[in-house]
Amino acid sequence: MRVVVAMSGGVDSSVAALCMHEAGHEVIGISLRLWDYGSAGDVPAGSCCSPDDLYDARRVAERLGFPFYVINTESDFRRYVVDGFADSYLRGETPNPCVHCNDTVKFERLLLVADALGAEMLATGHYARKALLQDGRQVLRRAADAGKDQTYFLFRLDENRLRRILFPLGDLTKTEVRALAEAAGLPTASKHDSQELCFVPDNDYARFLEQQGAAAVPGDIVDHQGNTRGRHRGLFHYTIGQRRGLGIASPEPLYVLGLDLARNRLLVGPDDRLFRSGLIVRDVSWIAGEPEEETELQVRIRSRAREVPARIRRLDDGRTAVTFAEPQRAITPGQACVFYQGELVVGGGWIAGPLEATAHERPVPASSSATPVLPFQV
Amino acid sequence: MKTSRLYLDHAASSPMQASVVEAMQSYLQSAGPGHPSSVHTEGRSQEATVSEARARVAGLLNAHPAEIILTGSGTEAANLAIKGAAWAARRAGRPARVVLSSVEHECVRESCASLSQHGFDVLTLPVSPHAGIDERMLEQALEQGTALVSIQLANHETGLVFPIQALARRARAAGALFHCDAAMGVGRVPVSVDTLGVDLLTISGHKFGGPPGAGALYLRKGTALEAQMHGGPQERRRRGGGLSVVNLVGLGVAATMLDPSPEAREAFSQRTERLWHRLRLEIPALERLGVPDAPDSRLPGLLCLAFSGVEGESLLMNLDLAGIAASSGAPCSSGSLTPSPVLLALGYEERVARSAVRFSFGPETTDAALERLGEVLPPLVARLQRLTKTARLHP
Repeated sequence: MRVVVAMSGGVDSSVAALCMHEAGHEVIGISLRLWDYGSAGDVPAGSCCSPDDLYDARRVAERLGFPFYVINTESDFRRYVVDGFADSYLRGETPNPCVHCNDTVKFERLLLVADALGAEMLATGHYARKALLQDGRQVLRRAADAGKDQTYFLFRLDENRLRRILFPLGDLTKTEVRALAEAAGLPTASKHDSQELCFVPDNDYARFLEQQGAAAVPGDIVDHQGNTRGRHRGLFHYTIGQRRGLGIASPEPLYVLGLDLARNRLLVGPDDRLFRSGLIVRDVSWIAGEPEEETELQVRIRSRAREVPARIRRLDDGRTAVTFAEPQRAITPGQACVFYQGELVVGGGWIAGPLEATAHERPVPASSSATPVLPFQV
Repeated sequence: MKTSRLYLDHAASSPMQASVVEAMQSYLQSAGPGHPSSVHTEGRSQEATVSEARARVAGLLNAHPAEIILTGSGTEAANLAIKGAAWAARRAGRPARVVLSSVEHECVRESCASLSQHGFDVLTLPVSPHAGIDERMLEQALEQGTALVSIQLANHETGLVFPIQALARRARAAGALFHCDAAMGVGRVPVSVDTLGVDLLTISGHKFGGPPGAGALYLRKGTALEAQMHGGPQERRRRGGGLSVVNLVGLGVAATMLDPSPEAREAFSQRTERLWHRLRLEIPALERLGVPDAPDSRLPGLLCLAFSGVEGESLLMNLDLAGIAASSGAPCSSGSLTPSPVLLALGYEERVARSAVRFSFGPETTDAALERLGEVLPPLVARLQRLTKTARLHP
């Protein structure tokens, strides 16, 4: 059958293409041009989807002998990912643009392209798997390689879309993937993995925000006892749990506890203050339907975090409350909270804030609990 | 059964004529070494080969061989013409103003853009498909004093043909030089420099059945030009550096293969219109972009078509997978497409520009080939139009 393979120029998507090709499918390689990198000097080293990466993808397609096209999605990417990224920071959040990108740009466009080309399926090089429920519906399942599992970034793939997607690498380890690439003589076999945000050079997102016109407004750093401890450089330079770069001399280590937008204050305190009993998730989506009230699940509150047991319950305002079995550290608004049942991904949403705001914390801003502000909500 | 491909992208690059390939192969097999500028027998032999190519190009354009500067590409010829003439004029005390149309090929557009970085006043004349160039603005610029006017003979995206003779006359009457990028026109409409009355004219070998890597600039005798490539004394010191003689051989032969007769043009034109009419009957809401009704203003062998409700990009990929090559928009360095700046400059909405595809072919393209396009295109467009109707809309 005709399969569109999403190619980023990295070794993973190259091997996904190889697998589809060897399985005898009619492969069409598609790369997305997401961002105008301008002159070569601005390309983040070790990023994804740069002109060099597209060149690599093209070489793989040529080597394996299938058609290859580049689709320009710059304006969608700018609108749905980059602008939202900046807005999120300015609301005091620490956003995860890769989830948004997958949801609103990459998979959206790739599936449209698959439709346009009459391709039944779309394959990507993500480390993820699918599972079949008893009633025949498909859900997302963690990859075999737990260290490389990327399901955290894919939780927005509803059942409708999942049905048309293949993840050829889901049962493989990274080591196996590289070995396959080398055996096939793919030019990308020894290419380093992309580690950074594709559009932020050197992961210097603060500089990026300033380039996009955000103004860094210094203000006070206040600790959990209300004492002023110093000055911050502008709230978007900081994220919950951050310890470095505070510029405060202190006998005990201090960590960022919260961002007080209203009074432009950075709230800091000792490590134990970072632990919370739960969090609130907004804009929750369920891959195959909402589970029962008070269901026990595992949640991942950061891409690099392990899943931890928790219970969820629907709140009257439509958001979802998550209560951990054990307090968890550094609840960061703007990050994704993804729900798992064993190996299956059942859904997720955006972290609005900790479950119970303490006295010195500003309650979660009303704007992010009601109608979504971000343009990329679907 | 594997069908052969149907190549309908001659405007990007045309297939080399068989006699061109033969001549180039023959040269490569029999020619020895030698630099055309050298004193010895080998050098003189090379010089003679280059001279013959030059004479053939001159013959095509109705110019004198001494007025032909050979270059490595059409883009190089355009750069030399525009920058060379503008700088020479400015040094001679002419006003530092250059005027071009809003739909020029990027080699002209970017050459002028580079001049504006060096203090030239660069003025872009709006063009509309029906009214042509904004002549009032041209008059104003000429009155204010202009060194150089650059307008193409025929537009590479839509096939709009400009009244060069009249425009050149106006420019020269006002003391401005006139450059014409004739890359798309050669082989499709008459290109005689004395009829057109231009000071500079540039062509590109691979647009009319010659090889890529060869171009030429016609420079009217007595016109000052500053070299842009500095080196040896080649091309009377107007373009330093050696050229690929085998490419020039191909350029020369291609120049002699063209049939400039009115009958040939008429026949070619009619085949183009017949294709247009057939497609228009079979494909709902099909629009032909960028040309007026008058046949003289339409370049034969080029159709810029807008398919309502379809992404041009999707159509191109599907056509490629079906064995048909066409093009659209402006490719960027990574190979993706952006809406054509020419179509946007002509006043088309972005939505229309994004749904545009260009089909271009030569006089030798067979009727059977055009038939095949007529068969493949309508069902393909219908499927894509249906998809658009049912597709989930982006928020």
